Amino acid sequence: MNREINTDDALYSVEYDIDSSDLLCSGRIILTKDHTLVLYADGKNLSKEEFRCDFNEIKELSISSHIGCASLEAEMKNGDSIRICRFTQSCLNQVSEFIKAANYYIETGELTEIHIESTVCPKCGKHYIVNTKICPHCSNKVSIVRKFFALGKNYIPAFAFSGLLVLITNVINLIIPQINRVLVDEYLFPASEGIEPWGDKNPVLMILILVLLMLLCYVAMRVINIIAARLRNATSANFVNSIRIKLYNKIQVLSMSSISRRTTGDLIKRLTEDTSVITDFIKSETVWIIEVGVVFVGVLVYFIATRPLLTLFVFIPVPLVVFAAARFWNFIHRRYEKQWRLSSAANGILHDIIKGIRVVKVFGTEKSEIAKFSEANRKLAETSQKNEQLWAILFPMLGFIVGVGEFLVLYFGAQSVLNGISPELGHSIIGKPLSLGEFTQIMSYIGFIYGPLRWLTSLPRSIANAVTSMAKLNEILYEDPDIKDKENALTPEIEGNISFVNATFGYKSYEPVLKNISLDIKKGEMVGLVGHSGVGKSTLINLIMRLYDLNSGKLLIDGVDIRDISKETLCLNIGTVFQETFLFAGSIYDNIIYAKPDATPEEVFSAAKIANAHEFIIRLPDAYNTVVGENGYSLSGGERQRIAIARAILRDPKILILDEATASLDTETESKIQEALQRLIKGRTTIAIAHRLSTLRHADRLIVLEKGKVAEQGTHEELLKNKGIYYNLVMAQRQTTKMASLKQ
Amino acid sequence: MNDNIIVELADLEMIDVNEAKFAPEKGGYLSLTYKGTEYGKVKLNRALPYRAPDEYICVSDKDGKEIGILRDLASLSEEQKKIVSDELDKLYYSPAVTRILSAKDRMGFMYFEVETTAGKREFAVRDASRNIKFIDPDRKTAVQIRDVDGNRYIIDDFMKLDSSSAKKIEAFLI
Repeated sequence: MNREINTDDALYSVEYDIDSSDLLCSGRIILTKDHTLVLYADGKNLSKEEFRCDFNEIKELSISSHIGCASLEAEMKNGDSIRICRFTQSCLNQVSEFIKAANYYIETGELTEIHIESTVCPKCGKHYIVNTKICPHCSNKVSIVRKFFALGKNYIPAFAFSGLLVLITNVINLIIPQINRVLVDEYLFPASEGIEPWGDKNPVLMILILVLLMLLCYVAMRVINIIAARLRNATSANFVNSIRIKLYNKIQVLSMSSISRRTTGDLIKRLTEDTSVITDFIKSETVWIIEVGVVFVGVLVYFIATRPLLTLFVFIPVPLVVFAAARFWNFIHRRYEKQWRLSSAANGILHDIIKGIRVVKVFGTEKSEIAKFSEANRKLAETSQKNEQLWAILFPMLGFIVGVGEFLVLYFGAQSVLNGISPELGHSIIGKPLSLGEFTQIMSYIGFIYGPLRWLTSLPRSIANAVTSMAKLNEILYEDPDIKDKENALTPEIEGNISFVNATFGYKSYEPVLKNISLDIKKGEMVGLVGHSGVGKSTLINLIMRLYDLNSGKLLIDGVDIRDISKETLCLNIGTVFQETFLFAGSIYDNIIYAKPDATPEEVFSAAKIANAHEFIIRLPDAYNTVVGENGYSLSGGERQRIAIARAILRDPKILILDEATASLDTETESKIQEALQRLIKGRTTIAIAHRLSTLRHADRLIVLEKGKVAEQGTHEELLKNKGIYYNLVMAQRQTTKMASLKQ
Repeated sequence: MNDNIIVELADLEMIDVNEAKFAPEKGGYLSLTYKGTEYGKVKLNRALPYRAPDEYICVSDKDGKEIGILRDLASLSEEQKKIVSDELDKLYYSPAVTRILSAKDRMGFMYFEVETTAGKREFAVRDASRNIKFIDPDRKTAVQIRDVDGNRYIIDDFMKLDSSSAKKIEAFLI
């Protein structure tokens, strides 16, 4: 029986794209109003039914992800499981929103809106860049450039003015050959022929005037050029600088999830390379664009007005040259791109080896590493040699094609001049014979045109590069941060009560790490989080620090939803010590005061003292001014950790988070730090994660997480009595400690 | 069996194919009866998905505990082999590209239109030189493409691709 189903009858309807015979399809998953779950491999005609079942039989829907695809699975009320269908990663978002809504419907009988944020462009159906509404396929270059410059409106007048100056210099440049022509035609040529058409004017004086006029033009051009260039350099530097700052600010504002989507290298590249591509473009290419524009239009107008036929000779080769050169560029560009990639691969190997030089030496694999590097270099050398050869052949050929027009004009122009002097010599096929002055003027104009032609052919490429960089920057600059302060974010005095209410969270929404957790942590309480690795301990504290937002449920700080509290207030009130301490390049003092830039030295020393750090710092030759971080004084793990603790407490935070703060230390150092922490946690809500369970023995309460849920809660003693998960963990650790001590 | 002390210590369970019987299970899953125990909803993982996709298949139970490693699909009977490779095909989805119809560069994204063994497909690749690459030094001419969504496509032998298709991605391969 195959009853027709209309999508209008659907409660929910989403796409899937792999059919039962492994082929790509555009299928539809439909949950109908009369509670049938039905799948069609052909979603347009709702034909090729692939699956049908009574929705009331389903207990829970889930997704299990595979490689390159995932499957929608159902757990039935009778205990069976069914793989309903598979889909590629492209449908993952849709299907996971569907199962969220469907499961909610099963649980509560209530319908919710399926919120599928469209990730494809409505115009072309292709992907947006993640978290933005930018479609690289559709966005045209003009809109990208406009969007980009919209970020620096203040700079536009300065740019426009410097553009105007360039325009003026180029117009002046076109006037010079005109003066030269007058010089030749009215004075020099007649003089050489023994004619004196200047009447009673003094020819030497006139020549002087003309020469001075030319000199004036040159001087004006140079002066204006210098002014324009200075203006342009200053403006573009300021503009790009402001973009860089905007970009940097944006990176700081973006949430962890969108930062971690990108690599560090990628972000640094955006900040340095892309911005400098744009600076270079503004500084040099825009000038050329104006220059070429003026010269082309000016010369074209001159030729059409005076010598229409000659225009043909001059301009006919132009499209040919542009076409040939564009093809040439495309061809050579690809090869150079490959060469560039090979060179960065070789560099990558070098980086890798030098970074891991200890491993290489320990394993004695120098020879094979050398071989790897030489192989990469050999490939690079081969490719670049080929490219250079090609370039050496093609470039002169291109130059020759460019020059053809010039020769045509030279030949026919010179004939025309001869014809003008004596009608028996040569023919003037270009109309009225040329005067010598006109001829020199034409030749210099041709030089003006053909000079930049070569450059013109590479223009599309450099525009494309600049626009690509702009698009990449737009991508970040216009990204909507998914975690941001509400408009009227609250700035309450934080006391330190934390409660999770039915909280669910997963880094991928279809793979919850914490499931429906409800948990109360009172102010001043010290709570230890315990559980196997990957169980969600760090996730829980990431949520408290609001590095991520919950998928569903609530997280309250003193009864206020964390999303309503301003990030700044939150940060000021939470101190964190991680297992891996990151100290910035700078002095120890700078590193501690980082948490509270307005702290007095007394405060800094006190924080260090509480953290048990003061004593060792004071013994260093440069004491608090000791430079640490990369290229700085190397501190031991314990010392770094104590500095981190000093940094965390300087703020006097109401909530203290210790994520394996002492895990990497030996027991003696740990006990020193523990002692420091004991002083610290009084009166503060403390949440500590530790694998070494002895670290948590002072905790008021231990919370055992298991499979994303709170499995056990209580004091150390209570949990031991329970003989549950915690008991087993403790026993397992005792076992290993015993073994370790036996071996000694 | 093996005189390497490391192999002895680790005690890998290499599945004895004579004692293993894979069978399709209700609901579209795979089951394994091994040494008298029946495991439902077993999971398969390729240990060397690029170098040797049909060798060293880890088989684990529904909770993820490893039952053993299947040394080589070729050692199974035809019928068993088909059952296992059908399941692998379900878990590893990577249509083979047979022709590249078009490749356009837009703002650092490459847009492809391709024919694959699973039908026509359009997709976008970001950072093409990182996401289009030879997959393994041991399979020198096999190319993998990953699109922006995380889908995978494979070109089994780049050398056998027609020249117009090959030209479209050649520059990204190093």
